[in-house]
Amino acid sequence: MDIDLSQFSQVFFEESLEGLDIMESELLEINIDNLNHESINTIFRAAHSIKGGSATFGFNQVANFTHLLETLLDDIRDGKRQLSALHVDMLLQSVDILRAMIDALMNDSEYQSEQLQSLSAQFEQQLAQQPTSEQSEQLLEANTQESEAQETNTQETSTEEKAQLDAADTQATLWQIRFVPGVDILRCGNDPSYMFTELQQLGKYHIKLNDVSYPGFDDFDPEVCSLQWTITLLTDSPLDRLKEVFEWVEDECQLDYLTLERNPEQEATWFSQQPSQTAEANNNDQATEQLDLGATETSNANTDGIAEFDFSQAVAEAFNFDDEITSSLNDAIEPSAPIKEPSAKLSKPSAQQEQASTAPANNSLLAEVADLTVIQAIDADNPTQATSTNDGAAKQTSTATKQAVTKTSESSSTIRVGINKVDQLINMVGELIITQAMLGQIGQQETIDDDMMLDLRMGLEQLSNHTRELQESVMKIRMLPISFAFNRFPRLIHDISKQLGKKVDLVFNGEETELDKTVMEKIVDPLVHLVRNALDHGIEMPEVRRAQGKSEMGTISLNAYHRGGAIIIEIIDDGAGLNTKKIRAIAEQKQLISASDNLADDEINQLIFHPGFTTADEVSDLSGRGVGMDVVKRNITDLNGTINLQSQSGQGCKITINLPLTLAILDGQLVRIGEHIYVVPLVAIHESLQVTANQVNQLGNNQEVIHLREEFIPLVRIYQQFNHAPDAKQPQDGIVMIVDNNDKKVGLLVDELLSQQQVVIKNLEDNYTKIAGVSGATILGDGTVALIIDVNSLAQLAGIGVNKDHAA
Amino acid sequence: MTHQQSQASQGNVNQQYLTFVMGREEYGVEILCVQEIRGWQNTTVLPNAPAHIKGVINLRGIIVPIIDLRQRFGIEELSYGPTTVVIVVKIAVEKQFKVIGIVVDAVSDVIIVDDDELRATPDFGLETDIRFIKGLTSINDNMVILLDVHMLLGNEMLPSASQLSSIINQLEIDSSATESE
Repeated sequence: MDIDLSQFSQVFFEESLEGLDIMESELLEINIDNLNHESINTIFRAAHSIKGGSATFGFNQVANFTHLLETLLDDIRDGKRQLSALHVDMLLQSVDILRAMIDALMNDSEYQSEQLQSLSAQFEQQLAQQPTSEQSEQLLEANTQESEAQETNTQETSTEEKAQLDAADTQATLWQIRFVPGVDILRCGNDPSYMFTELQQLGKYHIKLNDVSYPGFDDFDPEVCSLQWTITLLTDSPLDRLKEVFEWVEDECQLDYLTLERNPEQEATWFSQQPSQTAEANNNDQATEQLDLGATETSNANTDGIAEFDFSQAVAEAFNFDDEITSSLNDAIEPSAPIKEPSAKLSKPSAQQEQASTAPANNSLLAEVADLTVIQAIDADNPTQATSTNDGAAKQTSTATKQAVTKTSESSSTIRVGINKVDQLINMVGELIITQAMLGQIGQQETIDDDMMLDLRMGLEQLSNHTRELQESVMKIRMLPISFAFNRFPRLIHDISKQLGKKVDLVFNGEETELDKTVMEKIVDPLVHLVRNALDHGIEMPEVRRAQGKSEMGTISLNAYHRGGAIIIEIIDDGAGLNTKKIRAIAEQKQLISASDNLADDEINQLIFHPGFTTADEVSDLSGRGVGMDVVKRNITDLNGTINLQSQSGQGCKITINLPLTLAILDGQLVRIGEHIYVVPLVAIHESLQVTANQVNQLGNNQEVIHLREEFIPLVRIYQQFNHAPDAKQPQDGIVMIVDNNDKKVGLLVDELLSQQQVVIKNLEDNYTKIAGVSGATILGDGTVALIIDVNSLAQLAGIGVNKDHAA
Repeated sequence: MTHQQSQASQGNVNQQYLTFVMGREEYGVEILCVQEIRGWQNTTVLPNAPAHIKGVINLRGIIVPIIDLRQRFGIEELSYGPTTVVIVVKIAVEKQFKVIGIVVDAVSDVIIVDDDELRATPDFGLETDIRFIKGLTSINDNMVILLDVHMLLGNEMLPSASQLSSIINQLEIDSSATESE
């Protein structure tokens, strides 16, 4: 039973993060006045699976916290509690906290935050408040509180309610349910204790474990359920409600429902020692007390006198120390049969790993040792939780003062791929094998005649088709819909617009447009920046908008679509647009342009991308609309993309980002320098030409410029920078490529232009280090490696553009 | 006692090393680091790389840098001949595997060395960094220098080229001294 669960934790992290995304998007959609039950269910399910997963993996902090959420959601789902805006807010906050927790777990660090403590407290406070509910629920709560008068519960128990309780009892029906589960019930993932918990909520209840046919200890199989119970339940719920509890297991068990005559005396023995469960089971702080409370009450409650057994404690201990189980059994059941050593199957129960299956197993173990009546068999479930909660709580306090250590561990990232994409791949591989068989057959012939030559050609053609299709399919695996990047924006807009008091409508178009995962990851931050800018500085306050005759509700649209081999992302707002005059003034002040320059508005607006335009003082002057825009631009340029801005005063602003679909393939121009072959990205090249000697001028120290059509373009002799022996030492002997370097032009001197081709980019840093002037490597048709030139870094190497502009 | 015998008698604290020759010395690297042994092939030269980095090759789709250990150690250069081999090693650097090829004169043997047969490298003072030498052992009275490839290739902390030949000279003096004892 000792399974290394850590291998699955990555899956848990991913699923949890997905669950959190779902919770978040549902929470943002919720309309409190018109509650959609399906969305509450969805949120509940997400929280529930995170709780279950985290408990399984032993992430108690997450489990405890989600438990609070789940309890609240459960109440809302059952209509016991009215969802309020406060709840939605708390739940959204908890989504953030859970994300941070999971991030911390992924980095093997401890999550600590005051926010967690305060939010947990807030949840507990909410949960402690009397839910607005039917009377019976209230009564149950009241009953609960009666037995925990010393608790720090904010509620006060009124005598009136107790009176009502008695009144309600008299109307209730006494049911006797015989529950004989099939032997396979545990294997199907059902846990009777859950049903008992649910029954327990319906009214007063008493459970008795019946005689069981039980195998010897050595044959004991914890997955086989050989127990049966008789449950006596005093409730005013109808039979249908009772049946509902067993709905899931109806086919796998035998159920008899009987109504009994009311017998106050009997009832008194059955129900008097009812330990309270509902309220404080949900409460972390009270977990310990509950454990004690439950323990004392169960032991008192045994009326048959067969054996007194501190069941909950035994189970709790069993989960902690396997050897203690024997001793606790010994202590508890003195008069009964000798106890064998716990079998291997039971030897290492761990609270984290096998909650569900060991609990009934322990249950069965006890049954063998003595014919035991267990009141509150259900405790088998709760103490486990209590123990783990205690652990968690202890851990929390012990590390409370400790600063969270931030470790950055390289976790291998994974992608989820649609099954259709995988099928397509498999299909292609199948085709490939057929073609290979066909070619293999031809290859086995002694001689090849004309017919076979034809077959051979056909085969080769097929092969090349399939290879290309296979390549396309494989590339598609890395493609994800851009909604992965867009999905964070509803939350961002929700939070910021609330904070700013603005009204904003967010519109997506083309969320299904697919984009390479790596590109996606790198584009998210710039996008967040742009959207936040649009909201912060673009969209005006409602009253301003009204005054301008616009609708109070601003609109931010995010559009994505494919064009050619590129993806276009547009961020459009209908806000105030850029203040071109101000930008111009600041640009002049910073001497980026001169007052006499005749520039179109668009050209001026582009200046906000200029590095250095964004230092603190100017930002406020410029209504902040330029903060980090150079960083945005740099990120996009690093991805071989471009960014464009169009603004119309009072009408809004449109930012267009053009990105390559993938970072894995690049259109390149092969060039030769001496015996070395390099690849220059085709997108960077403006033109290639031969220059004459008098076009080249010396400029100061070692810097040459080419005079080309009224422009002076700095020249980089690659062979000098890379220390190679070239054919052409002088510019006029070789070829000069005019390439783009951060919107400025640079000339590169090479010996010869070779072919243009698509190259697959390989990472040099995997096995080596970064090389100045080189962005990566690729493998040419003959199997040799060619390096890909990074124009920007090459220009920097040559000392071009290394000035104040790049200090930012 | 030969090494094969000692392996049989000792069991688990020994490790296998691939030994190779460079100049007059024999070196060894842990065999578990060795991915494969290849013949010399022409490399793509990297711009502005140190002289001992011969360039990169395409090893089944992976770009692998090739390091000339002779030049790295400051031993005089030899032209690459038919016995020149590239030992491709895989080492873990900061949780990531790096594949690096090292050019050596010739591969000689696989030896088994017990940990207690490893002799510590004598300390030559602060000037020389010998952390990339795991230890010394002798086989048939020949000294074998066991290299710690992780230290050697994982970090850029090698002694400058000329130092190593002097280290080796000193090592030889030292090992002959211990053997004569």
